[in-house]
Amino acid sequence: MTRIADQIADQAIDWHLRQTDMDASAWHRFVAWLEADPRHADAYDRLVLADGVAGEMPAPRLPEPANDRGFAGWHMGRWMAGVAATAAAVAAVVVLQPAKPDIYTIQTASGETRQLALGEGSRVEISGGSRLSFDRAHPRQVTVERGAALFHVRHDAADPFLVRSGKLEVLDVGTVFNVERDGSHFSVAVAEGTVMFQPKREAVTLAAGAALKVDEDKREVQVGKVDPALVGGWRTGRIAYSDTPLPQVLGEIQRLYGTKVLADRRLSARRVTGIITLSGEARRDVPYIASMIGANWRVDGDHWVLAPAGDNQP
Amino acid sequence: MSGLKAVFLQQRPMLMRLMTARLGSAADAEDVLQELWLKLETLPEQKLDNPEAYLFRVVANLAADRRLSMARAVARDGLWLSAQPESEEFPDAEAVLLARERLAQVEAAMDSMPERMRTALFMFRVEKRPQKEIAQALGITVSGVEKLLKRGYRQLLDLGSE
Repeated sequence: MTRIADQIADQAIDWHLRQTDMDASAWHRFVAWLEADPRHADAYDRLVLADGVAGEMPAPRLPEPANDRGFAGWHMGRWMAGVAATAAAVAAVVVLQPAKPDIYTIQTASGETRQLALGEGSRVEISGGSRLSFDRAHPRQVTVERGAALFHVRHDAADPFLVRSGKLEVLDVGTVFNVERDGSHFSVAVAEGTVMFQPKREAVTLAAGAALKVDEDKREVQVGKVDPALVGGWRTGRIAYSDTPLPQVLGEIQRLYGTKVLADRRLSARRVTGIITLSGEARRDVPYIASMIGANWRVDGDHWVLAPAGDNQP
Repeated sequence: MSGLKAVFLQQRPMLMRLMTARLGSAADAEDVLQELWLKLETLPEQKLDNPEAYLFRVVANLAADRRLSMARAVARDGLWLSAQPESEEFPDAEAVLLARERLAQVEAAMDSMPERMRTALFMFRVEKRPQKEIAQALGITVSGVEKLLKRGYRQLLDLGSE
């Protein structure tokens, strides 16, 4: 492979690093730079490919902050020594115990998806509109705060993989599984292998093809079946619903594609069962869902509205 | 029409040039921009500080996604997606090898990076934190972070070209 000229490589990296703060005129200059020489476009393309792979790297452990603002350079008289030692001890506590330095969160915008490696051989695919938190000290413990995530887990009996969501826990026994959280609704569906729900309490074992739904408000737990091929269907837009409240379906569509759909109050108790194939294009998907539940649809400003059929709508 | 769509139309020639330069094909670029245009229709109205910059970022990200998934498909299945599929009925063995090698090299290089460099890259790339925050977390200056990131990306870029 030919070596990229130093100067071109550095320029490509400069453009890449600046991209989050570039204004329109900087973007115009960037386009001109890309077009000026095929070697520019090639260097930039290689950088982006490497950057894409880098984007899925596992979280490193956070190194201790460099202690270059410490007391090393201070000269103190002997009579100050006691005071200095106390001050140093206090500083050391602050340095060693910052507020949970190893916790970090990843948030996706509606319509965006992310992939992340989690330690050796495991990874997670995160759906749009989701928020997950991770712990560098424990890469095999993840919290789903909201949204959906599909976990591909390498099983390790000595170091099991644990997913938390609120007070609920799912423990893998070697597996691919999807976890979703929408307010008080939680669900887990298993595509491969086995997981254990609430390992320290009820310890419900779920094998491939099993799904479990929790409604925390109603204190209800339901166990059902799911086609393993449809687990994590949000990745392709093919989603299986079974007796799912309409507002939850609409919430998921907003998360996945950013399409805002509101249901008339009279429809909020309506439930959806079946497989929906979504294109991500609102003007195809909204009428399709409306027809599934026998509703009318209309556009109102930036969102879509579903109303019971029979209303006088255009 | 939403503000963002108006900005899109106004910037379209430049967005098209960006996409074409990144994908190397005007027809592909046209497809992706068309998809984006349809998608804009479904986006809720949002207040953006700088809608032009937002659209350029979206286009750059779409191009990156497409290039990366193409490289992955080539590496994984030997699929060779070119601008003229009919002329490339069989996967180009050399391209497959190259794509596979390149991805593996990047992964290996990330693994062997000094911890601090890897952490800086992780915070910048995955957590999308501003350089100022990375500097605070690592206890170094902002220009130190910039140097670290530049060296890190340079290592990735120079892979396999020696």
